[in-house]
Amino acid sequence: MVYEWAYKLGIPRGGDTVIYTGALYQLLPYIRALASYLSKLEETAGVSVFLRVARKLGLEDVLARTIARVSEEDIRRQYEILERIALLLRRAGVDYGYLYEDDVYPGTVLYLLGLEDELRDYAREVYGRLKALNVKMLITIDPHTTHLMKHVYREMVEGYDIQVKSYVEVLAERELTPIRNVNSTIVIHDPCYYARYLNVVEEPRKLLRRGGLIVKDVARSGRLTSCCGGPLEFITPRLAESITRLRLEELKSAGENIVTLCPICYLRFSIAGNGSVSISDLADYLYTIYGD
Amino acid sequence: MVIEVVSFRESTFKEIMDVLYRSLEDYSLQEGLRRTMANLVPAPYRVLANWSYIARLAEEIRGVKEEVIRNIDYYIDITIKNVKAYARGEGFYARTREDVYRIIDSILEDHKRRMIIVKAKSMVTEELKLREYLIEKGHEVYETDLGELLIQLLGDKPMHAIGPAIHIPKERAVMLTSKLGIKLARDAGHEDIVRGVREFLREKFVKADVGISGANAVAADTGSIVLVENEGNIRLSTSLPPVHIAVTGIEKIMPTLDYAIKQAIVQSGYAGLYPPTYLTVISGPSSTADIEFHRVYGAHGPHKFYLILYDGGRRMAVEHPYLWEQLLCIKCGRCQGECPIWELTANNWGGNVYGGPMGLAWTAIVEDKVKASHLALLCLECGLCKEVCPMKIDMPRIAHILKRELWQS
Repeated sequence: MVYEWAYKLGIPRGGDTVIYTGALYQLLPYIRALASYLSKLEETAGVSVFLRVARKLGLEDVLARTIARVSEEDIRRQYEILERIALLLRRAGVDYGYLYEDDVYPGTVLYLLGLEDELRDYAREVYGRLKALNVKMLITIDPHTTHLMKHVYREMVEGYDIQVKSYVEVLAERELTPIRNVNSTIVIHDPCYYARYLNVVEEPRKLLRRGGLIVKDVARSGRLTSCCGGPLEFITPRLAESITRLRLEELKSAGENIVTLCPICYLRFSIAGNGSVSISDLADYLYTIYGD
Repeated sequence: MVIEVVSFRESTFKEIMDVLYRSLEDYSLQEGLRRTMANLVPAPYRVLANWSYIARLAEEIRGVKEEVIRNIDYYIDITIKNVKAYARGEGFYARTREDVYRIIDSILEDHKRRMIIVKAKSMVTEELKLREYLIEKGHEVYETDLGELLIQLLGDKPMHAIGPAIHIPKERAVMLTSKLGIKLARDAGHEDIVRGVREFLREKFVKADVGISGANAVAADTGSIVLVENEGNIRLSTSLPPVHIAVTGIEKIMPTLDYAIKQAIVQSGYAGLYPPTYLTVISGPSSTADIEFHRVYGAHGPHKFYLILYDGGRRMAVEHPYLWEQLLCIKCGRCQGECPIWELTANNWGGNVYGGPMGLAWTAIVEDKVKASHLALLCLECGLCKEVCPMKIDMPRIAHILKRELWQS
């Protein structure tokens, strides 16, 4: 399920430079299902149930119930975003490969929960696999994986020497010519990790403006962006929902077309917006502007 | 120092969550927060845009504070010496809450038995539960900061570092002040409440035997304290009563008076209350030398000045591998207003005194590290608190390590 989409595009296997998805986009339908399940749990059994899950007790049961809730449409939609990113990189003339079954999950949730001992061992394993495949540069596609691979792994794994760049940065560096002009106005929700941990703020704006889009910013944007509440989804869905609602209201005050650059933010706003507002991934707009 | 290993306790976490759930459902709290946030959050942006030197001063202050914290024992020492030498007062170091009580008891023993005490708002005295202690000893104690007075009447904890009552809408404030016999119409406006409280407190200021304040900064070289305020209650509390006792944390010490003033300016700016209506320097009791240049202590202001430098876990934190950084905090409260969780819960996401992002490490330092670690589990690590913090304290990292330690047992 992690790499199906790449077969379709015939992305070559391996290479110095690879797209590394870290499986976050692919996991999204499952996260959505898990979140809806946890939300029910929180209502009926309080918070402690999930914490048992976090400590790997009763996990199988939760996963089984989660998988039953996953929507096929969600899976198709996430593949579509991945394909668009891959095609955009191809259009930009980037020479890259893909790791297929070695495009493994880097431990994003472990990191967010502070389960660092587990993450440290796991990170060494992931790094070992990447080194064995002679990977020198990762092109990441979401802020959490980018932060993890660029900063956290570097701190945790001795001798870590893999270069990491997000596809947004890679595309912004290239002088891509727009194929289509999109005359509309959008509001960007900067993800916390891109804006504050990775300093990726201007890149998406530059790419969108080149395609004719008017980018509107709310007061809390760029380095001062406000969180979508995502990291709390697994701990307290109820508090996470309240945070998402407040942020979405703020974004909506600037416009009805909201663009996210992180699958977690995308999910949070899609659920909270419930169709009342348009939520797009950056890749959707970029594909319209620059895609073939 | 030993790094304690704490472990996850379901019951502790459940207690925290119960309080948070109740906050989400508390209409009065949510309404108070909603009204406050609209004014609280934009204010520092306007200040920092208007007076660009404030951000520069903040940068300068951080380096100076680091130097003080690295040499804290030296600075405590010379501050106490200079309170005597230049400020003609008496300085004390108090390691524990009981030490503070003992010092204050001995100061008050010199005077009358039952006293009227007026208090300026101070987070450190909240840590010490000083108001409660003095009331128990039979004294009549009044908080004179309007927000803190409301907290006293409510019997609650402060909900913000500089605006303790930000969660209380005006309708509730009217009800609370009626406990003091202040008669206001149910639909009384903000101005009516302020007038009612002013009239009530005026007599207390005049009659007070002792004034107690905190300090926004302490100058080691002169033994002075610096205070920032807008209400004027601190000026009255520290100048009308014959005795002034200032109680503050050891981390408020700055090497020299100019830096102490700069720190107070930075705090005022990042709190969004700039220019401060009153910036006060107090270097000891009032005095006059107008007759033959012969100095007499005790003119119109207090004739006695005491400064108590409270430790309460801070000196231990100096040696701590990551908690030490929170000692740079100037308690402007900006991280609280910007935090998405605090925005919905105020200091209910916190310890007994400090909440929000700053509250994680402060709770670990002055109260209970286990509780702080459980509170940290809720931190989004979104990083906005660090971004807006004048001292650029890495609060998300502190939260992350606190979380990590929970699982390491």
